[in-house]
Amino acid sequence: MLGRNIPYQPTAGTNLHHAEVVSTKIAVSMVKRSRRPLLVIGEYGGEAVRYLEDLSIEKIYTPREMNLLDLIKMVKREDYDLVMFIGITYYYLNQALAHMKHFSDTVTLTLDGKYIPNAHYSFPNMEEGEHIEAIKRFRMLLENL
Amino acid sequence: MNPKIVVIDPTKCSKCNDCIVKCEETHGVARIKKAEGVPIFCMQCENAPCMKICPVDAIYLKDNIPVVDRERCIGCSMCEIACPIGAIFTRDKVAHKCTLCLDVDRITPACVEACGDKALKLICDECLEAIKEPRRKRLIKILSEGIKEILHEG
Repeated sequence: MLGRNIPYQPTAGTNLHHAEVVSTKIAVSMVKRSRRPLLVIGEYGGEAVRYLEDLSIEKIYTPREMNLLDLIKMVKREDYDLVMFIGITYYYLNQALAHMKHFSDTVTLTLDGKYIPNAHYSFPNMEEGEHIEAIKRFRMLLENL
Repeated sequence: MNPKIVVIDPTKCSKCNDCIVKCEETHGVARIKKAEGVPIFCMQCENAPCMKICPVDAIYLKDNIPVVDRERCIGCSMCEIACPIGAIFTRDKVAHKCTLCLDVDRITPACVEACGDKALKLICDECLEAIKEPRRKRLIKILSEGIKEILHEG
């Protein structure tokens, strides 16, 4: 796991409470255990997003359907217990997640191929191919629930 | 191999009791026991001796994790005797063990979230592979360097 949880921007991870690195299996078990999960899809997800688009989880596309900051406010108002993010600009998402970490009880999980320190749980740094494989596996395990 | 377990890095643990306090808050009774100041967690054994020895089948598998059925448990403490690591105990005539918070409305175990030192980790068989792979690569590197040195000397 060496180097797998180093933030893309080292200054983004100067706090004490860094994200916990999770595998696809644990991510799936988190989705399974949550009462009301939400998947937030950004515009830079690339090929990986295609595998998540037809999942039977509530989805919001940002910024097409909602601005990320409005979305964060909405998540705080509603009773979502798990919010997953994919395909959002690294530093923008990291700022939004910092707000979620300090001002809400919602558990955040990032499905991007890079470690995002301000989430509660994050995938580790991965090569592109490895990331797509992980998302495929995530989807397959979710379907087998 | 279990689907997932909580592991602790004793060198990172600052013995702050946060995990125990959070566990007590969540379940009413702290399901984690300490040994020399460091918390000990149930290993969620695959062939769980506590489950096998239970005379009333009060311990059942939920997502491959042994969970105690509080209604069925008669508090006989047989599981306490059977457990090889002392992670199950009886209090108020009911057996208590760590279930990775599967029996409460939580997404992840409370203790893992509460740990400020990041000494606790929730891992699964996939994570183990990810940990082992760089070690194997390191071994190959050491071996190949050693062979090169020997050949060079020869």
